[in-house]
Amino acid sequence: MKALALIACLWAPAAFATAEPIQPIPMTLREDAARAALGRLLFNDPRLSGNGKVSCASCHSLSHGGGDGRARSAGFNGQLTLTNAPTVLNAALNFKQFWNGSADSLEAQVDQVVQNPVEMGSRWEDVVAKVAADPGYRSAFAVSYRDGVTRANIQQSIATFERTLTTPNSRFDLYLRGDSAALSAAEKAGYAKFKHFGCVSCHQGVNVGGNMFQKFGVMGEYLQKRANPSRSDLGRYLVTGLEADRYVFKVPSLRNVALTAPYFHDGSVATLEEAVEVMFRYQLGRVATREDTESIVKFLGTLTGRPAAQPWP
Amino acid sequence: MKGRTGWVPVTAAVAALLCALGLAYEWSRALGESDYLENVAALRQLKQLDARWELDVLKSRIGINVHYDPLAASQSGIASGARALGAALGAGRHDDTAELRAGLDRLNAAIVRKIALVERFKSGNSVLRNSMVFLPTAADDAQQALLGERATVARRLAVELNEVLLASLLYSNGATEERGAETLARLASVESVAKPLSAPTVERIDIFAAHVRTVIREQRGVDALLAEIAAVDTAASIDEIGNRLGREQRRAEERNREYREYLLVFAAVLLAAMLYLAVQLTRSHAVINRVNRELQVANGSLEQRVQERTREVEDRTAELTRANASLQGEIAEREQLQGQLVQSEKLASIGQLAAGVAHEINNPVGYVSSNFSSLEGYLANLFEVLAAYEAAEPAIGDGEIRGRLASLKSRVELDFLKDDIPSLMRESREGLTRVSKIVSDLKDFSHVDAQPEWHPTNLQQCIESTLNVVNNEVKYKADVAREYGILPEVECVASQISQVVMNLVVNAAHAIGPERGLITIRTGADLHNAWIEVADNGSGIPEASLARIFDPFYTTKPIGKGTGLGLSLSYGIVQKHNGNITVQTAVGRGTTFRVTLPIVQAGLAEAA
Repeated sequence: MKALALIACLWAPAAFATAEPIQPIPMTLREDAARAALGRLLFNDPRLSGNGKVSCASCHSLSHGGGDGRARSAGFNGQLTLTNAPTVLNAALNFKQFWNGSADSLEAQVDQVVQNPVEMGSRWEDVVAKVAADPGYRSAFAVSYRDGVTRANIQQSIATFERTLTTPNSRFDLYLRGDSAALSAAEKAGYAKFKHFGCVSCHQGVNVGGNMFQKFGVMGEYLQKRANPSRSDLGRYLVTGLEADRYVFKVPSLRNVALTAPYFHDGSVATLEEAVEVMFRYQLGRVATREDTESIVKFLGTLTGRPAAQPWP
Repeated sequence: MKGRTGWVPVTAAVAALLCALGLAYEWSRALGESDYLENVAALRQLKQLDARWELDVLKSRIGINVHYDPLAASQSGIASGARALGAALGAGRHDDTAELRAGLDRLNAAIVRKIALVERFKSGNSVLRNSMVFLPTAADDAQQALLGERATVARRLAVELNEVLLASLLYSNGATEERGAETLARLASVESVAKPLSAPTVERIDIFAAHVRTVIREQRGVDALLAEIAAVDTAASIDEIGNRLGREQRRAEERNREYREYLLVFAAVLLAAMLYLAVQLTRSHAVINRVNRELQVANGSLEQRVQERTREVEDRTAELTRANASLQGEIAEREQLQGQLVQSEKLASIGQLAAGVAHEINNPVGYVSSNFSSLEGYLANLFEVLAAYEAAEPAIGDGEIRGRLASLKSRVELDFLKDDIPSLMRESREGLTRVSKIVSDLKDFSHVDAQPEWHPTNLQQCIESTLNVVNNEVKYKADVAREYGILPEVECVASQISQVVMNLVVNAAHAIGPERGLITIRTGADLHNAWIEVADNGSGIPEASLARIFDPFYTTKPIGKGTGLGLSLSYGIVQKHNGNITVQTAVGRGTTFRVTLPIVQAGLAEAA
């Protein structure tokens, strides 16, 4: 009988772990350290923009949770971007990039942003020329890439750096890896509600989202009935042109969400509580009590982590 | 004469045959059998990925997969697999490129279509699962509200509501049009009957109704999507490409067989020609050896080629050379590593020894030096007493005693003793100090009591403070020039790096001869490493010593001037920092030591 109980004890956590809809972020990175170091320089280099004023880090600041804290970001000449800047932290774990998923890879994301007439307003010929004119870059590229400074290599090294920006040590990851004391009782209760109320049917997987598309307003029209409609509200429709993709967005990752206010594709909601309430009403088709919202916000706070950029092989 | 005339046509024939042989060989090689096998493997893998993808869709549908990461992974896997296949097929030579391209286009279109369907499936499935899970709760909420209603319809509504709930749940197990329509109709009647009830009750019934509609709508949608996904002909497109490649390969084999026959015929004719030449040439003794050699060489290569084609052995020479080169590289690397290993082994064993010796010596040295202090005090007292006795000497009345004392003093050379004892004491004290210094160096060397603290450090400040410490040692011998570059902060144990700089600067000062010299300190950095250089224009290091300068206890300084530990200590420190220390020297012109340190220590967590 004792043995049986023991077996049950051993079994339970294992069964529990496999059934979790959210998975911990892998602790090890398999990225080339030299290329990532080069990418870090480029990521912080304003020469990538048309007038030398903004770098990737301007809108994706690591001290601001990988975003910039603004509803919409200011591009190279001060014009506002169409959507809220999503965090660069854990972006590597998203199945596509941008709110409407128009880039299949981080490389493609870099490609688009550099040329975007509002964002960095640059031309790749110019970027390649500027980078190749810098002897430091030239020698670093010569070490990392057989063909030296090229458009593809610039994109690849920035993307490599970004792939090192995962945050595998959030308290929730510790909890998922078996450290039950990493979460308080209230936070565990929040996670239970997050699962029970159905948030987890879209915000799941290793990135707590970021692996599927969903319509904003499944259980009630939200964007349609709002004041000041914007073109960016059309979401994935702008990529595919399909009627079914109207108001459809990539489900954003909720990792580090406590650091990345304001929320939604247009940064229209200032607090996490408000965002959770909108989700309840329009995605889950139910009304949240104050208590439920607060409990879930507590859980979301445990998803905050810092990039552990070191353990490169 | 006959031999001469036979030469030309036969040589021409041989040359022509060799050309034909080479051509046939080239043709048969161009068919690329390995390409075919690789492509077939890629196709098979793609098919397997496709099957797993469909399986993951089903697993998500029935809830075995509780998140979509596997689906997203297979999706990007199959997309990149198809891209790679396209690139491989585009690069190879094919009989009918257009047809193959059309097949690939069909496959890519199928994959794109399937990806779009799967994306819609994921969205719909999430909504469906959410509503399915929530439905009983929504029904329960509505029932609770109905309990509070007085109207008689409330009880009937409660029963109706339960039936709708049951019908909706059943619908998910066997969705038919009629059942769906029926459920919706009953739902509509529930809603119309509920209209006169209180607003909160109506709201709860509305929420319930919304989820019932969602379940029925999404169930239909998801089932339709599953059918569409299954109908996308990715597998068929893959098979079609496979069949096409198979036919192409069979044709290629056919041709290959032909070429092989040509090769055999050519080879036979060539042999006959060789034989003829051999017979011709036996007549001439002078040329027979040379021709024999040629024959052997030609024969050898011919046999080799024939064998190669008949056995269809791949030509792997290039690969072997590569492997060989990398083996050579590895051997060289291993030799280098072995050298490094020997050096660090030496240091480690000396370190252990030193730690033990330092401990053993430290104790006796401790009490010797404390006893020594007492002894100095006692001696001073004794001298004082002696002086008092001497002062009292004239007061002794007895001449005989005075005479004995004088003769005793001269026998033991008291005046000399008084002079010599203090200088003996001084020398012994110096000796003791040197012993303690060596023991403390030994301890530093073995790091017995070092608790290293790693911090991002400004190397320039570190160098400047060290220069202050050793100023005394340097200022009469050399000027110090500074050429600092731009440096990031370097993760290191600052006290240890100071010690390295100190050793290098002091060594540089010692290397400078009687004329005033110059010590130059330079710094700089690249992407990953920072470096410090200490250069002097002193005597340089002779070739014979160069190999030993990092060995413990090796010194060229006069006995008593150096312990021989400075450089080996520095070497150990730099090695612990995962850096390296290199030396450039020219006898009579000076020496430059260069210490290279990684900016970030792998293994220590970096704050972002």
